[in-house]
Amino acid sequence: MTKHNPIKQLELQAIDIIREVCCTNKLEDIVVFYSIGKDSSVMLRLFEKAFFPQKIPVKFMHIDTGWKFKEMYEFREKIAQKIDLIVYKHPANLNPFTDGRRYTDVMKTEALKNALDLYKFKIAFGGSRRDEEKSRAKERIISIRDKKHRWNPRAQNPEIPPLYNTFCTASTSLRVFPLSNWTELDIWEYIKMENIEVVPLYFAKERRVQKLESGMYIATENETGELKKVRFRTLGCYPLTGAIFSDAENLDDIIAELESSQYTERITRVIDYDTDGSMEIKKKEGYF
Amino acid sequence: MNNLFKFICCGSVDDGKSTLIGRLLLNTGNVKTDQLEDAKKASIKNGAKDIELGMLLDGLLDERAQQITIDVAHRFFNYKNTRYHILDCPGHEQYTKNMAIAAAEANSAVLVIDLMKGIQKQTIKHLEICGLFQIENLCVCITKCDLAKKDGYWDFGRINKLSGEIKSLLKNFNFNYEIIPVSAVENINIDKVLGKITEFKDLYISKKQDNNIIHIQDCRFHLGQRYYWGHYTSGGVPQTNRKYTLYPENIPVTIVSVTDNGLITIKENVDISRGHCIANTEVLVNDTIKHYSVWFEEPKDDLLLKHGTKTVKVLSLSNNTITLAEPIIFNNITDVKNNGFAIIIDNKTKKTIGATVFLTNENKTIETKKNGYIYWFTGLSGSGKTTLAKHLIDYFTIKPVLLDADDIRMGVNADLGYTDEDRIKNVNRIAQIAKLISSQGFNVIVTCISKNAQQRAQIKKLLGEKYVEIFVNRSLENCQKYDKKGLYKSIGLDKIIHNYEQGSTVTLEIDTNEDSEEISKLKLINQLKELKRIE
Ligand SMILES: Nc1nc2c(ncn2[C@@H]2O[C@H](COP(=O)(O)OP(=O)(O)OP(=O)(O)O)[C@@H](O)[C@H]2O)c(=O)[nH]1
Ligand SMILES: [Mg+2]
Repeated sequence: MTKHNPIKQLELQAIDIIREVCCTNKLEDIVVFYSIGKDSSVMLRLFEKAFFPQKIPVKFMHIDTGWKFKEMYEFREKIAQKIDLIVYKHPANLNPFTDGRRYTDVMKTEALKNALDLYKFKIAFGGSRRDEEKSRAKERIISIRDKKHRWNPRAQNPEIPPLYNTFCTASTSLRVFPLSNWTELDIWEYIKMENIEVVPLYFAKERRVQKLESGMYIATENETGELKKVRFRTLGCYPLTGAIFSDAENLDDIIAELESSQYTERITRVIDYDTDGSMEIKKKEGYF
Repeated sequence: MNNLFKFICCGSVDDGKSTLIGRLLLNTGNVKTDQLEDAKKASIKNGAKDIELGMLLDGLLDERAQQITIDVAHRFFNYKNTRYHILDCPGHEQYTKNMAIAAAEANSAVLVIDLMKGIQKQTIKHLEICGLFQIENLCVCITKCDLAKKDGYWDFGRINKLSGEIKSLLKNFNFNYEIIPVSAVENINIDKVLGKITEFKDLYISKKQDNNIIHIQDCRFHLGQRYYWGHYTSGGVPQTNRKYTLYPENIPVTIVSVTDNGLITIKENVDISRGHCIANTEVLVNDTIKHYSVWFEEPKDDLLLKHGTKTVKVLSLSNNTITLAEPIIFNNITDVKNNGFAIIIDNKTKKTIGATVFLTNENKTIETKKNGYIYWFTGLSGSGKTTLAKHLIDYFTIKPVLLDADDIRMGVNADLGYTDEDRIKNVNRIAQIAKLISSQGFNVIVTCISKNAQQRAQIKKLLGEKYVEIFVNRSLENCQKYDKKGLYKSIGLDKIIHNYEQGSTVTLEIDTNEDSEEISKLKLINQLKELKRIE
């Protein structure tokens, strides 16, 4: 037997999940959430590999808030040439500066639910990982959501990988997380191994930043911002994603930086950090 | 990094599973500063002075509020070239299903037992589930050793006593195990636990897994070429240009290539579709299968079974046999774990409501039984007869009839006293009643001191081969010492039996001097099974 390193094993498991879900359901019911970030880039590669030599037969969807970084939009335009990408933006057009919490509730959570209903998708793939967050560590690979897309952590389907229950009913929909067992480091090692293109914001560069009250630095397009060498560990909306000071200019640097980092990637996300269990609460409301 | 190894942490509620795993993650440098701060904040919010390590795992709001694990936490860490995948299970009875699914996924287990509480019902339940799902290696941790101290040191008298009980319990199972006393709070012996897990990992990796079993997911066509998507149930990616067998047709095929993304091509021109299976080891093909099922919800009529890449209707289901609308391709779980179980789905709600393991090798000949069994519990007053008898009753789906000598003395035998002569009459009448019931096909359970060996021999003659004598052996001294019901204090000295005679008619003996109640119960059932006196 050929021995595989974990990345290779994790890749095969993810491909297995993608194929099993896709060949037991109608393709038009399936969508892949695409956030432009590193995990989405890996997901895209896994979908390509799962269906190669044929083309990916399912749609991708980006929930746009209108407040993504410029580089992200540029990157999205490039990717959109390769895949069947739907872009959905909530008509409320809220503003993260003035609308506060309601901005994420509407522009992300509401938008996501509306988009699924609008296109009648029953099965949504996402790139979340169990190592990202404490409530995610408790979720199944195939996670059942009710009619209103809500997660009930107390009523999860018993799951014994690799034996997946891929059924959904009129009153349930599924979220599928093929990257469940990957870590942030695995993602970067895979990006390196597969030579996957990612948004340049992940690499350190002199950028204009601005310090928030919380002590977090965010990138700014304002010319008055300080110039610092920073990069992003996660990519979200412009004022809600913190930058980190870094010299990591290439994949090897990033991998080395992560190996010695004392913090998880979550600290750079304002959205998860406001109250204890805020991610779980969002999931119960229908977020990923 | 070249290996991936999964293990679970299980054991009874509150025995210290999450805390131990939290400590393990902390010691191996796998807890980040922000995670530590978060856990500390949550602990203090709950009234603790410092961090409760369990909070590193218990991430749901309800879990934190109730300080109990509800669902499995999945954590990953790298240690000495291996990726470890820990599944921290809940211990509470209500969430046993979540523990069971974790056990099905893993090869080894850490089982924790709280030194202060000892072996609990859930401890045994978890062991049984581990056994059922072929967990091979077990690291038993006696936790919270810091709580029992003598002159500032751990109380090894107490630790050794519990170790003894654990060893005696584990005789009923087939694990490769070691017992380690630990304290997660004092951070003692955690390195030994880690060492043991590493050893289990080496064992797991060294075991050759070159038996390939591939369930076909789909057949794909591209530019005139046929490819197959395969689900590698056992043995990983198969070697090429080797002979394999296609099931259920049972014809030889050759795998020509397997691409980097797992596309299989076959030399022969055969019709292969989803649900077929390619293997280089023996597999079974059948629609009627001996099984053992674990239910997460009460099964209804309309059920589906999913195994490999096949989902089939369940036609009928009894305690030990499942009949399917179509044959599936499987193994006995003791032969190939990954190909030896299935999930059961409710066809209406489409929820997974059970897991079933295949046990076809156990070709038990089902006896045609006309007479029911008579399980005759003999032994001193207070030796544990009634407790064990009640446990045996609970084991049956069709409840046996209980004849308790004390009850019968109140009615049928109210005319009898406690002279030797009356005692003999008392026992004889009970035997006659038991015979009557047994002859009508019912199982009977008798609890009766029946101290006279010669008389028991006569009873055995009377009742024949269905007579099962269970001697509950506890010394008079112990019966009096642990006299919970106050029996010995209340009855007259003349009624105390000093002369119980052990005889040769005994089918099995349960010694209740040393073992705890739970272990005795387990031994009773296991030994009756072994002797084929129960199914
Ligand atoms: N003194 C002492 N207390 C401990 C030790 N390990 C755990 N505890 C305490 O025991 C309690 C239960 O610990 P947990 O780790 O949550 O127990 P658990 O087995 O994970 O519980 P469930 O998952 O809910 O079944 C907590 O209050 C811990 O602080 C130990 O080594 N020493
Ligand atoms: Mg726990």
